[in-house]
Parts: sequence; C-alpha cells; structure tokens
Amino acid sequence: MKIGLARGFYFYRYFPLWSTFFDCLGSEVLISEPTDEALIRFASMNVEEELCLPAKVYLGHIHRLKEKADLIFAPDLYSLAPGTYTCPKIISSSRIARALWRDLPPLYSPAIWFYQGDHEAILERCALDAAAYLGKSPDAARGALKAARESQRTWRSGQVRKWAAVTGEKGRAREKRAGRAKAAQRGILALLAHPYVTGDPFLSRKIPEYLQKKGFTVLCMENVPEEVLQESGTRWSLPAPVHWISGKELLEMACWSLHERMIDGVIGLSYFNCGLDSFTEEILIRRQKGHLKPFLSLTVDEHTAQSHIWNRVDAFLDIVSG
Amino acid sequence: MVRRMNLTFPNLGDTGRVLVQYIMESLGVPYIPPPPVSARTLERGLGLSRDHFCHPLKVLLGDMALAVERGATGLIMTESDDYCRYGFYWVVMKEILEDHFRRPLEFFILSHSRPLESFAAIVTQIGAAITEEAAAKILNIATARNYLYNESLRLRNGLWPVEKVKGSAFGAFRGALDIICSIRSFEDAVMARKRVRRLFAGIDVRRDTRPLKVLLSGEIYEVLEPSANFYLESSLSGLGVEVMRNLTSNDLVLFNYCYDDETKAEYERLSNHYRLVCEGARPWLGEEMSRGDIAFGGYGLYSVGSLWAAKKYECDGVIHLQPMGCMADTAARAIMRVISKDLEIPFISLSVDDHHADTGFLMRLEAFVDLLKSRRERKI
Repeated sequence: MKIGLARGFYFYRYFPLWSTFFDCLGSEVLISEPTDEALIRFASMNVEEELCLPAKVYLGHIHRLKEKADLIFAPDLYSLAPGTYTCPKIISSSRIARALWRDLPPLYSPAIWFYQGDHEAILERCALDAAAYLGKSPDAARGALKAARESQRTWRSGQVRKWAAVTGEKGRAREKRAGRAKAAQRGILALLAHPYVTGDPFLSRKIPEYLQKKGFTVLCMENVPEEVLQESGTRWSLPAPVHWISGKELLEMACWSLHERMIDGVIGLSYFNCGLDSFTEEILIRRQKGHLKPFLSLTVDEHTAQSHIWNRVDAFLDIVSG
Repeated sequence: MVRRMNLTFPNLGDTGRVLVQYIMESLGVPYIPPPPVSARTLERGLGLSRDHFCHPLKVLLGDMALAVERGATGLIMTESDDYCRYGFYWVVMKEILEDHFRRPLEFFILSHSRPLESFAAIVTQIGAAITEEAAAKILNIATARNYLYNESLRLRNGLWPVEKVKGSAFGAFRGALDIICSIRSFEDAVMARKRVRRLFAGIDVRRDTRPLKVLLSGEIYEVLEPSANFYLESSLSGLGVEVMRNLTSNDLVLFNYCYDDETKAEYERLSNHYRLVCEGARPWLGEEMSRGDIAFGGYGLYSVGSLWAAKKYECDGVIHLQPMGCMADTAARAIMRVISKDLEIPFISLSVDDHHADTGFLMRLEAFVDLLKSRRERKI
C-alpha cells in the first residue's frame, strides 16, 4: 500500500516521524514532489483565492498525490503543543481538499490534540489507531512508533547542531567560539518565518541560500533549541499568551534574536493574508523599537519574480554590515 | 463602592443598547458608549491598525479610540478560546491603544469559555457590591431582552419587503427597541413581548406577493453590524427581498458557552437553527468537527452549514460576508462554493474591508437578486 504525504504545513517539522512510522509498518511512503511553479499556478487557479499561499500549496500537494497514492495521510492538526492551536486554515485543509476533489484517494485524517499536554499517551493512541486502520497489530505499531520517534529525535538534533556550531557550548568557550565563528563570517542573521515557509525552498524565496551565498549564517526557528526559545519568550510579558503555536514560537524567536548579542540582524518573512502574522508582527514591531538591531519585514505573495526581493535584502545587508 | 472610572465597550449592532448598557446601569457603573460606527470610526481605526488586520478589529480600534478620547478609562472586551484572531483582539488592542494614548488602560475581559466566572470577576474588579443572586438576575433579564430583540429583528425583516406604507416596519422596530430597552424586570419582559407583537401586528402588508428570501451568512461582525455590511438588510428589503440572519446575538451568547456536552445538548434543544447547521455541515466536515463547539474556528461551522439550512428554509439564495482574510471564513468559503453547486443553491460571497464606497458592493448584490428573480420565474 502506498501512503502519500503532502509536502506542506507541518510536514516540514514532522516528516521523519510520519515517514518512518509508516515505513516501519510495512507501507510504501510516497512524498509529493517539491513545490515548483507549475504547482503554484495550479493551486492559484483551483483553490479559494483568499487562502494564504502555504495553504494553497499544501492543497496542491494533496492533489499531486491523486493518481499515485492509495491513501493520503493528512492529519487534522488542531493542537501541537500544550496551550496552543495551529490555525483554522491548517485545521480545515483536509476538509477543503475533500470538498474540492471528489476523486481523491481516501484521506486518513486523525485528530491531533495535544492541548492538554500528555504527549506520550496521545501519540501512542494515534499510532495504535493508525495501525488498526491499516490492519496491523498493536505491537507493530508500538515498534514503529519507537523507531519513528528515534528518527525524529535524530533529525531534530541535526537541526539544532547549526545553533550549537554558531554559539559554541557554554560560558567562556561560547564567547570565544562565537567570536571566531563571527570572524569567519560576515554576520549571523535570524530568519523569522513559519516552519513550513523556511522548510520549503520555493516558499522561502531562496532567501536562506542567497544570504549564505553572501557570506551570512542564517538561523531559523528550527535551528534554535526549544528551551532557549521558551526561556527568552518570558522576557516580553504579554497580558495573555499567544495561542497559535507558530505565532508563539515566532515571538519567542524574535525576542531571543533581538536580545542575543551575536545576532546581527532579523528578517521577518510572512505570507500575504496570514492572519496570525498580522498580529504577531504588530506586537513585534512595537517591541523591537527599543533594540537597535536592523529589522526587515517582508510580505510576499504568489508572484514569482525574485529581483525585488533581492533588492530589499541587499539594502538590508548593507545596513547590517555597514 | 464602585470605582471611579468610565467604562466603554465596542459597537456591535444594537447589542450595546440592548445588553451592555443595561448591565452597566444595573451595576451602577458609569459608562461612555462609543459613537455609532461611521466613516470617522473606520478612519480612526485605520490610523491605528495594520493593513492585514481583519475588518472588525479595524472598526473596534476606532470605536475604542473615540471612546477613550471622550474620557473612557476602562474597556470591556470579550475573548474566546478559539483558533481565530478574535480571542487575541484585546491583547493587540491593549498594545496599540496604550502605545497611542501613552497611558495604561484597564481591560475587563468577558471570557466565552468561562462566562459566569469572568463576569463575577469583572463585578469584583469594578467594585460593584451586589449579591450573587442579583448578578444572576441581571444576566437573566439581559438574556430575555436579547431574545425579544432578536424576535423583533426577525419580525422586522419579514415585514420589511411587503409593507404597504414605506418605513412602517422599521418604525415599528424602532418602537420595539425602545420597549425592549425599558425592560427592568421579568414582569416588564412579559408585558414587553405582548406590546412588541402588537406593534408589528399593526403593520399593513401586501398579501399578493411572495418576496424572495435570502440567508445572510458569514462572519458574525459583518452580519450583526449594519454599518459593516452597508445596511444590506435595508437595501435588499427595498428590492423586495427578505433577509434572514444565519447568526444572531443569541448565537453569540449561547454558541460560545457550549463548552460541555450538557449545555450543548440544551442549546441544540433550544435552537432549531443550530441543529440544522450542524446537520448541514456533517457531510462536509465529518462527525467530529460538526459535533459542536468551534469546528475549525470562528463561526466556520455556521457558515458551512448555512447552505443546508437555507435549503430547509426554502431560501432562494445565500449571501456570505467575510472580512477580507478572515482565517475561518476563508476556509469555510472554499467548502461553501462546492456545497452550493451540490445543493443547487445560488451563492455569493463578498469580502468586506476598509472601503468606504458602497456602490460596488450593492451593485453586485443587485445583480445577484436579479439572478434569483429570473431563477424563480423560470421555476414557476
């Protein structure tokens, strides 16, 4: 049985978990091809125009799996961390896909609800349900889940290694190495964007690659350990916690990168019509005024021309290195 | 002792007059209502907000800024434990308004998930010395006012397109509103109901025509606040169309309180419309999402189910309004387009943002009404 995974939204954070799990259960995992211009064109023509581009892209990826997969894994991601939600567009995406294209292979959409915490038990229950759905034994499910979590951990520590390389370990060594790392580079920049934007080379507008080419090191949300982010998030006291997971993480990341000495500049990349970005950016822009750190806020859409983005990034880099 | 401060609250149709002002007066709290929503409100709000904010927040910011300029020091806002932006409105408003006025503003938050607790907390914060029974009585009478208000709205919209004397339905509604606002006790409420019904029964109607009927569905602010939808009900009534609201302020109060199965069952028993909406949404959202509370955020569940409800009410079409970029209703709209083809119900969706001119908006609606007319003629 071929299980399709659509390359969009939280696939970019959980693909090691999902693909290893289904692989270990003995199914063939099929990942839709990377985003390209044809997909953007298809999605903008066929999907509700006012949705944000990442949502259109995700739906386009589901459509790409139409003829290839026997089953599409499109979970309903309500809540991925205690006290937070994802967003209405992510939650409803599997329903929209089902309504738009009747001839899709069956969509398997378990509800993921980690709002109250208790990760372990819920994850195991989801694994058992999935195994039952595929006609596998509970023991196989537990084994597959163990392997999947292991591969997720390995992937995650690989992501964080970049942060460790930049910052060094602790104390004095950290200062020293940071200094050395800095000398070799033109600077370190923080890129504030949702994980599904930074993960997708097309959606991130090749900005990380471009900055690297220019001799800068780029740190994304995924590269910084959760503990570091959570610790810095407490510095900005809001009257109520942000209840979207990526909004919360974005503000934490922004707070960390504005306070952290070694970060030379911050780039915010958001998509047109992203609801939660409009709120978190408002807070961020008001809070960053006190910090004398270069900050660039970019809002992009489905246009594919690259030059004006590079123009603005170049101007920003002049400020950073000037 | 009630603390010395002036409270204010945002505009949402007549709910300020019907509900909030009554509660304030009963608690003995001085208040300064914002001026009715106008182009000035929106302009004021636009100066304070980002482009990408949703339309209700832009207007609410204008409301609050104008009220603070008139001397309000405390703001009452509601909050929902929801996936959409509405639950986070007050945090952003606080950030913006305090930055703008350069002084702290006190926010009193009525939480949808804990309505009674948060109301009690506000009462203690304000310093109103009332017993628990008195507070419960205030809320009950407010609910009674709300019910009667929605009933007279329904009566008004039914009579509006068929009235013989232009303006009589709206006049009766104005009279009904005055009666509703004078309700202070349960005895008043019983009397008021009779008087309101008598008022509407006295309107002369044409019996020879059956007006077109449309269901007004979409995001709650756009449906409930007439200035947000360019007084759509009034203009459509002028064209001989009866407008039914998919959402009322009853739903605003009750729907959000359905956080446990017991209240949900009670609500379903009370509201035939809610039951229809859930039934209509089930084939599209699946069992789990259409079972109740918030589905995928905001009033998305209501929007998705509205087409089925419209079919059951024998409506000729559905008008869907959403603030541009609304997180929940944009997703709902993608599904609604498919449902409308499936159920063969004409459907138009309009995004509302900070534009002032109503011509383009109304012209599209007129074209839609023409389509409904010819469709009915073909059928007959």
